[in-house]
Amino acid sequence: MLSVLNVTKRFGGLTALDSCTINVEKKEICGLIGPNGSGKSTLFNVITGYYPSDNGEIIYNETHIESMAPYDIINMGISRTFQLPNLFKKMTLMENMLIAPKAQKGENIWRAWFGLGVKQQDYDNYNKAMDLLEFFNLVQLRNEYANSISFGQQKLLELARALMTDPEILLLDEPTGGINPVLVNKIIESIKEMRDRSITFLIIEHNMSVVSRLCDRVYVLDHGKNIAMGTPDEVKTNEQVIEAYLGV
Amino acid sequence: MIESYCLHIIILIIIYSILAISFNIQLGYGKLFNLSHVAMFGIGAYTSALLTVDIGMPYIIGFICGGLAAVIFILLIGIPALQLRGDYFAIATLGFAEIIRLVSHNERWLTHGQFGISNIVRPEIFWISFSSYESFTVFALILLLFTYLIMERLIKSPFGRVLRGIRENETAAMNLGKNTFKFKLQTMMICSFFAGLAGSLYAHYIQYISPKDFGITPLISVLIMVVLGGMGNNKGSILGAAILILIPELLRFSGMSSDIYGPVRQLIIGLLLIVLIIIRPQGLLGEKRFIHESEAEHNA
Repeated sequence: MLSVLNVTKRFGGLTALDSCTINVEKKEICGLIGPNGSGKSTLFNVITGYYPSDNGEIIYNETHIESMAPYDIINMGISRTFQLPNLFKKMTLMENMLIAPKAQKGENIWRAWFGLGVKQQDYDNYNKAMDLLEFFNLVQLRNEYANSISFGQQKLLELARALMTDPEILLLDEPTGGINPVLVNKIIESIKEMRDRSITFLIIEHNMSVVSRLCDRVYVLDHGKNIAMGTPDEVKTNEQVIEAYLGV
Repeated sequence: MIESYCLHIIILIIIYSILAISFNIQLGYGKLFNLSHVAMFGIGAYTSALLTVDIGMPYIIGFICGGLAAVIFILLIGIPALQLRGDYFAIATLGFAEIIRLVSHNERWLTHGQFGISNIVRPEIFWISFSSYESFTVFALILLLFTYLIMERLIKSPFGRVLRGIRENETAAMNLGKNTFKFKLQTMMICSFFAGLAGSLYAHYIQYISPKDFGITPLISVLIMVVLGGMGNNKGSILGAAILILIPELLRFSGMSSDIYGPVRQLIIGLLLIVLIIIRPQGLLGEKRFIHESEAEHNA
């Protein structure tokens, strides 16, 4: 479904990604692990077009996306969250949710003025947002500003917002970082449930127990290179992986 | 006499309110520091004046072309300037505004140069004349109401929501699949259209325009109007325009000699701004929290 082939990204003298290759299958929960600074987040930024890659190909559903604009890539069905939530801070939670849906009629100025079908669509989006906020225990806070809720809640809001775009594939950057254990279980369950509804996941995660419970396959990056790939149990015993993590 | 003086003040407030509202949409809701906004006001004024005075077109043509000319100019300015962000965007638009002012100052064959254009006629649409103070006030008021309603509707629509989203976090908006460049350019085009219309109104009301009417000083005034009233609040922009026009007019009655009148006016406005920034940084009215219209049903 999503293939990254020999992608290289340099920042000046630093090679953040060094002919990195990964391949995500449809309806898979694919993990991406590696020590800090190994290029995981950079890979997300390259996939979503935020940084242009220096070399290599990115193919999504048989389309080359490596030179497309970020908004075009997102509109093809790729959605992402960030390690530090990127929210619309001085807007309410509900508004954060309602910006997300793709191809809104009211984003066209003429339709916005003449109101052709705008209200009905906005009402549907509102109900969808209410359901998602309910699921993530944020519904009472819907009219608060996004910068007034806690860090964990902000991460949940960003995940909920990403789901508002109806993605085919979701790139999650540490979805359980800073979230309490009860909610972590809930997030794991919901990710599995969404996978059953045919959403594909590529997840950066440091918490190995989450990775073990969640991921079908795991890619390990170190210094921008793939060093291992396999089931969570396989990579845990891989010598190169242990060396990269422990620096032995 | 006193009646027409009051109407004169009201008309000026209305014209500057239109200019301030369209500036507020860019600055308050979009964080777009478009410092060529008053230049677009000037483009509208010059286009309208030149078409009616030099070519003898009817007023309505000049009025609409004034708005359209501003849209064309903002396209030429906006496409390159929007490649820049924040302060750099502000400087670039200011640069373009200065180019426009200098051209209007020097290209005498086109713009009559620094002496400006005089004998601009009062508006006449079909058979209705708007030459009296009363009728012009009505005409200007209709345009203000139209501007206000159309801008409020835009801001409350999904378009406006995305625009405010871009203001809050452009990266996030881009990562939700929004073409942020398109949203920003469209916003500038709409706002410039109304600035152009306000310019035409101004030219045909004052009946004389020159390049200095559209320089840095009026730009600062409009900026203060928006900041004073509260960025992100269209009613605030009207309030700001009213305050900034009324202060110098009220000073006229204070019996101050004319040589200290100007400096005192600037002193008061400067002081007002400092006090405001310290005790009420969001401006007199400030931005309201947006609650979705389905909420009323939901609570019921």
